[in-house]
Amino acid sequence: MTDSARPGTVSRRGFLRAGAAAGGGLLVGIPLASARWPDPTAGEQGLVDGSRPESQAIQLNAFVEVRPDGRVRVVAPCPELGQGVRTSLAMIVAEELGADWSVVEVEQAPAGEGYGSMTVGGSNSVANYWEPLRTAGAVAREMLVAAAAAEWSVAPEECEARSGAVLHTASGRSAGFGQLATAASELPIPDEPELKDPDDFQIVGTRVGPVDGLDMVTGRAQYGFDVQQPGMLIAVVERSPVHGGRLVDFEATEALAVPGVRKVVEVEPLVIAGQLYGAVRSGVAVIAENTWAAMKGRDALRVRWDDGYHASESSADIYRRLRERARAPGEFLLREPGGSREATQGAAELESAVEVSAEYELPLLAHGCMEPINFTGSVQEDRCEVWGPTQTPRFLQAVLAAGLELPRESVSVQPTLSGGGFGRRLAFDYGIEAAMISRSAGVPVKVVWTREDDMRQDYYRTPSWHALSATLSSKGLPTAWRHHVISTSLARHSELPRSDREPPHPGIYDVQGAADLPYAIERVTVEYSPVDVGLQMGSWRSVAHSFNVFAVESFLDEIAVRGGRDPLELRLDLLPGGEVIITLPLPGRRGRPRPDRALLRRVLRAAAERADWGSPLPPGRGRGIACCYYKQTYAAHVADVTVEAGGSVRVDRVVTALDCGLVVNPSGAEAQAEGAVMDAVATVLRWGLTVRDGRVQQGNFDNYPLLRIDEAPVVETILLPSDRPPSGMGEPPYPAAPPAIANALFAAAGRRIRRLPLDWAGLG
Amino acid sequence: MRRYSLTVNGRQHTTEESPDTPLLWVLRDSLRLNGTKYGCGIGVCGACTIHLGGQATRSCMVPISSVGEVEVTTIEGLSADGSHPVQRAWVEERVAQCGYCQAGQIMSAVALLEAHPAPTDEQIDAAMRANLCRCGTYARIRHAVHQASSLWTDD
Repeated sequence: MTDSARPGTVSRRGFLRAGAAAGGGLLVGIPLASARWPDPTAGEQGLVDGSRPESQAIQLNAFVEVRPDGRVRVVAPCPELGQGVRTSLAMIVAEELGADWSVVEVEQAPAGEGYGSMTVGGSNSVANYWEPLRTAGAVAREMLVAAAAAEWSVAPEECEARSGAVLHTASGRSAGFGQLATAASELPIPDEPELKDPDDFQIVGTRVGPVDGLDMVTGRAQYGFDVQQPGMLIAVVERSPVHGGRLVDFEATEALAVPGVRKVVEVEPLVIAGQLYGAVRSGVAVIAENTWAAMKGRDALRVRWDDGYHASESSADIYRRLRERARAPGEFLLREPGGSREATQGAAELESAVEVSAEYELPLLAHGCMEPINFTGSVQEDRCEVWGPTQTPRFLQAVLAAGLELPRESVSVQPTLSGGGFGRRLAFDYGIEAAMISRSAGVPVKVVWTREDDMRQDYYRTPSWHALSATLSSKGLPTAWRHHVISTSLARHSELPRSDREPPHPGIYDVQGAADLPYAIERVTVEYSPVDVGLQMGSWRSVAHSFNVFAVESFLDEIAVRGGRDPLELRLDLLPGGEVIITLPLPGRRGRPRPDRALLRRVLRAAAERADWGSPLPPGRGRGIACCYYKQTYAAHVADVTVEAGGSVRVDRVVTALDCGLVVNPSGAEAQAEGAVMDAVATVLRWGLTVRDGRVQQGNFDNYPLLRIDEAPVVETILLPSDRPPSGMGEPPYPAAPPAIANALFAAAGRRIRRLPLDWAGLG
Repeated sequence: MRRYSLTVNGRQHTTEESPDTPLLWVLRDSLRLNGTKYGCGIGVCGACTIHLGGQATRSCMVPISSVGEVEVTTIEGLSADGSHPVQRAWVEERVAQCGYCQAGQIMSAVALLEAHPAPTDEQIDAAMRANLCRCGTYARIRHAVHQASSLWTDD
């Protein structure tokens, strides 16, 4: 759509574009990354040195096409990982257009500046594209209505667009979008189209199944593993078993003797601006006619490694370093008393103060996406094309352009469907690796990772240690709170090549969910200390909220127990008033989180009411509560668990209440909540990686087991009505669910869970 | 390398393979039936589930040399248009998130329903517990199996 049929005309003020498609019909484009809709990620992650931006002319990318046959094509800028974004983004366009949902087709945008950030991360997709995509749909609607009104010689205000047709009720006339599309494309483009009143929505707010649902149940859906290119071979790579290790030499005679094996090549590193870019592991690629031959060829390789600095890394050492770091004062002070002091207690009460303290330990985690990492590359002298599952098509494009010294428009990145992401595919090592192997081999290559490769060469969720202490008043309310977060610093470990003016604050990602504590406590101190670990770290569903909220919400439960207060009532007491602004020494929105305590109270009350909080439970059963906010989404969970006499644990039911602003697709939002609760059960009970000699020991689902259907709790999701714009759903239902379960386990068994997973520590 | 003849979804195929090649890779790489997915390669996740002689089977654990004359059915063999009752139930119940494991889930569900046309929750758990889903679609899978049971009975 972007090449053969570009929208031709520009609206008066230049915000919008529209025109005729090649075969007739109407196209509407929204130039993103423009003054009106700046790229929200610009400057946040810091693009690489040496990458050149695309030409200054705004890229003409159409988001909507109305074809002469009446079909509607919507371009989804964000890749699909299972979060339902192709469906929800298309619903937004279709709603404003007044389309017939059954004829809407969704096309995946290739990487390109005009599509905005495109990055799937931070639960941003729907929030970022909500207004631009509504506008695109509304422009198309108004042009179709204008075309019909002109033909019928009536006022456009007398017409309405509905279910793929324009209607003039007074005269009973109607015309399908397809009949009007070509005439509409020649009309002036409205600069400020009128958006619908949400009360009139017909598609947004309804339960819609995934647009790829039929393809997924018939086997037609195209994931990265399913990419086929002419002349393509399959590569399997033997990578350094230790992060930072380098290839010494290899012997490929036996590998090359495996039938079907064509070539064995060393994986070349990517050099950007004269510096080795370390995101891709040193490795040797076995290239074959089919996957099995490539796997067997790799088994037959003999490789010698220089393991480098991290070969002595072990879990015991890692946790010892984290624990010891907790004994000393924090390296970075994120929040201190006096910053936003709120008088909640009289000084007299402090005299009878009780001190509470606890430490929490959370493990290293893998992503375990069902579709293991893979990518397909085809590199020629003047051109690079890659295809596959990625969360960051534009960063991958920028890095490849810089490293291959190509103009960015000569690097094509086409996202496919992705069998899960959960943050793993925010790193783009796999895409670079595929391009480098294709370049060396001189043919298109699909690089497939085995499950073991995927688990042992992950960008892991950091292990973390949390030292918390609090002072309680005689009423059992905390008057002072101190939280020292110790982790590996995603800012230091994520290995993004950066052009930053200054390096990011080491705690910028790792203190999220801790430093922005929403509770009204008089003296809050939050400190951060980074500890180096010889593994690659990355983003994992909700990033630092995934560990910090566990520590915060578990410790609050400990405070409730020590102070003799109900855990729900304690939270409600600590959440007075409405929106508060917290000031932190971090750039951008991270420096000014704005939780609305009234919205937190609302989700807490909704979850508690549905779960019948406070009703008695039989012996062996327990109920726990926890809440959090993530950007502008609010979540509360109540978990019911059973602990058997032998110590075996079952999570029976989790009630989740969410306020994520206006809900585009309730079915999709509920699906995210259901999945987040499954992740929560698995992280509390089971998931954890161990390291020995610098190597991650688990490699497959036999020793890093996913939850099974017979372990799945009943999940009830409440989506609270809201007039606020959509605020994101992929991550927010996760962080408070594990502590709700752990708090329920305490209620059931009287044992505080301070170390995850339970499979390691047991209930004692 | 040896020549093998096998019947997949009612069609006869001839292919040259190393005898130890798992059926999964024969289906995907040689026959281009990509609906069957690779997830673990050790028979613990169920993403590669197919029917071998009507039995739900992990195709990553079956070497091509052992298949012989036994009929193979993959997700593509249920129906191309999604009209099989289990496929319809999966769409109606909006089961899929990323969808990657769902072909295997559906093949296990079809085998279950062929043996037990109206399964209990316990029977569903027992039959489906070997199919992993990282997205957490289990509750919807359970609903969809019940739904498929009534659709199949109505057909």
